[in-house]
Amino acid sequence: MLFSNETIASLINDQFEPVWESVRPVPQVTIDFGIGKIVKRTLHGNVATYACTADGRVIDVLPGIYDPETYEDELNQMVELHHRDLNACRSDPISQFHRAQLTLFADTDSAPAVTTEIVDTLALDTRHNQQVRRRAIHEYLRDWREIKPDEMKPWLYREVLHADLDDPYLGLGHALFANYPFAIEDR
Amino acid sequence: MKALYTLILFVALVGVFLSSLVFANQEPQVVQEPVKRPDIAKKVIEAPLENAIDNDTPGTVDESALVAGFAIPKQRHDMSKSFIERPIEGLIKSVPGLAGDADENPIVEPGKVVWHADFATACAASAESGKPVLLFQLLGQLDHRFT
Repeated sequence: MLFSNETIASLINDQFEPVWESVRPVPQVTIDFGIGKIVKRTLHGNVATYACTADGRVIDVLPGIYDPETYEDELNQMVELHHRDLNACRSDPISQFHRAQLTLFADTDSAPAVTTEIVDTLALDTRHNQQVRRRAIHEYLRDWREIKPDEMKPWLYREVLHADLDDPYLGLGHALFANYPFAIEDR
Repeated sequence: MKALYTLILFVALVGVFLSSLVFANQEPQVVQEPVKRPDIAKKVIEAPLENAIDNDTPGTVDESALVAGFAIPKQRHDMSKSFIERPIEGLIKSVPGLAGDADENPIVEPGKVVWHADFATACAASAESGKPVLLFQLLGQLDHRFT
């Protein structure tokens, strides 16, 4: 677990007021091997890390899981962003930050996309989150100045994390049932 | 006299005819020698695999042994099923988290972070400390093993 990492845990404890919450139970897959052995695994877990102000405004979001190094860098950036927001008078550092990040994405559009060269799953997830999902976050927060986590959550899970919380199958229905061979007979 | 000769000839012809009927259905008995077939047993046609594979360089084939095909097989190794396949029970036990009951989802420590109880509490603490709130959302429970 990322929060068992000494560096990450110390950074969070020192620089943040941390809290976690469950958005819904995670779907689980259970395989009974019939010999008294049962395998239990989660099917579709997804996470998001919000940075918020004291009045509950979202200033930034890290969608999905990250490797410790990238996560640490992003957390430090969140601390700096929050500091600027606290000390801002008439400017809007949050919107400015996300607009600036989007210009960086525009400059790196020609960069190679995620490839299978990365065999480390966590590194692959991190890169995907930074290159694809994070961009959607910047576009969203560029225009929303005072949004709360609960207001952002449905969009975040549906559009960015592809785990629609309003869908009982979390968007996995097609994958689960599309190849069922007796679908026509069962109608 | 002439009639006597005719009678003898007739009897002789009848005899020949009857004897041909008796031996007509009997095939000549020919004693055949057993055919000596070439030994085409599988073990002769195929080169023993043990000799075709170069044991010094796994994955290579000794072509000379294949051509010869009659190399003396080496002693076979015991490659029983139980030797090749690991017992499934042991395999499951050897992988962490694979053994256990279906309802088992033990509560674990949610990392080394000291968490606030809820978002409102964290916001209140943020107002005092000046630190940003870090809200970690997830499907499942952070303090459960399977989240």
